[in-house]
Amino acid sequence: MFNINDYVFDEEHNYLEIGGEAMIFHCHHYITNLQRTILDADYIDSSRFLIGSAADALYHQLRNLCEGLNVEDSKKMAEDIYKTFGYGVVDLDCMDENGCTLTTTKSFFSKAWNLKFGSSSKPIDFYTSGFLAAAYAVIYKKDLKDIQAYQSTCMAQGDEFNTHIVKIGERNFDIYPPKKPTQFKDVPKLKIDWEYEELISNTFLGAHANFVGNEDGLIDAFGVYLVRNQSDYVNRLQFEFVHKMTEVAGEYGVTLAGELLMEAGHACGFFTYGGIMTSQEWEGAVKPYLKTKEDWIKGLASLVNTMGWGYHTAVELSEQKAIFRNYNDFEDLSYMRMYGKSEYPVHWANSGGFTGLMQLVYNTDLVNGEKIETEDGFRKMRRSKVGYKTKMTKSIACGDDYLEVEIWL
Amino acid sequence: MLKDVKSVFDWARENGDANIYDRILVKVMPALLSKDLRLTAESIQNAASIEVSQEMYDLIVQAAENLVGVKYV
Repeated sequence: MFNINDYVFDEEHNYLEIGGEAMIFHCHHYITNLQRTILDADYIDSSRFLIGSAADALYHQLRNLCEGLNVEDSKKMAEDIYKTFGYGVVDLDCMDENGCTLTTTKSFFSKAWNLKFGSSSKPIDFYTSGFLAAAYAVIYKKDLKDIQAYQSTCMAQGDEFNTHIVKIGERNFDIYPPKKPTQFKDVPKLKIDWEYEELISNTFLGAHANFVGNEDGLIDAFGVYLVRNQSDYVNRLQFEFVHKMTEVAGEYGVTLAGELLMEAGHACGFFTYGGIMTSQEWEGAVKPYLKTKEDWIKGLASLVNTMGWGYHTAVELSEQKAIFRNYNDFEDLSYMRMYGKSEYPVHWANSGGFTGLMQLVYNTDLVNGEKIETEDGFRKMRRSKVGYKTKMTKSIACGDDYLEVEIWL
Repeated sequence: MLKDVKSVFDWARENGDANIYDRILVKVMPALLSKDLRLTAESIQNAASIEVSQEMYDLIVQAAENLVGVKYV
């Protein structure tokens, strides 16, 4: 039913859209870190936006993908994208006009939480509750505002399976106003100053389509579990968290939230970029062209520019200091679709990722072949006295032409 | 009476996540705000000592222990 190859990668904007939703990869380290950060602030009723962000993005996407399909085919489409995108496996046979009580033993969120943090004290697969609310609304032509969706058992807290209940009732998640279409910032790009950029990008162009869920609905790649997120789902989690923290503590809330969101980006940069740079694909297709540590960073940027996160490049790059740019980065585009302009930069994941990359290349022995992307390696690196500092200086959502971040020792 | 809570943060950093300062601060943020305290990871890192009330000290110890998963001694 669903075929990832039907969707063309936008090479001009380094962007992929499926069913009207921008799509980006994240790893399980980032997603679980982000979710734990949000749940740590237990004085915020975060389940409303943890479920609501997924419901909103999926409602929009499934409405497009299921247009003209009957009930059975619509269910198949929803099951297919859930599995293809790496969230696990759901069987929607149990869903009818009244909703569903769905059980599954294959959940990215529950598995990832267990792997990263061990046992949870409460259910954590909010995404799937939101996904099922959206699927129910689209397939049975219900209004999202009339739906209740929650999880009653969770493997992350030791249960044998996850149970999700979706029904007509008092809504327990947030719904949001319609989004604006994606507005790219079409300005001349500063290309990566590296003779092999095109070669590497062309080698990996289209490779994103290989990252699809296996029989368990998981994307096992580069030593991490990837998920292909609806960009607005995952970014709304960040933005809503910052907004709620701002309501509680004003500018201080933005500062604290921003630090933690950037830390999730650090984890992503460390584990995913580390995994890529120690992979067989890297060894065969990229490493032969690398002479300096700077080449490692440029090689990685050339590769990840084929993954839909925008166009990464470096204005300045040395061990002491780097200035990175991202043209049409996924966080800024997402913010503008959902909220319009921002008074402060909103690209914590990108900036944390760039910082994690600097630490990986300059503060570890990765380039000498040492495998360092372990939990212990991450702790060791983050506690290092020679940690990099990060300042987000430009953001498209603030009116700038691109994302820019300065990173220095 | 004021107590120095800096050693609690240091202990948490030795035994917990790399971003444990921020995680503790987020946990106790409403209490910090009620005392008009705006600690950050950077200010904790740079401080020689951080004097807080006994009540705040106990809250920070409790948050640190919960996040690290072991008792502070």
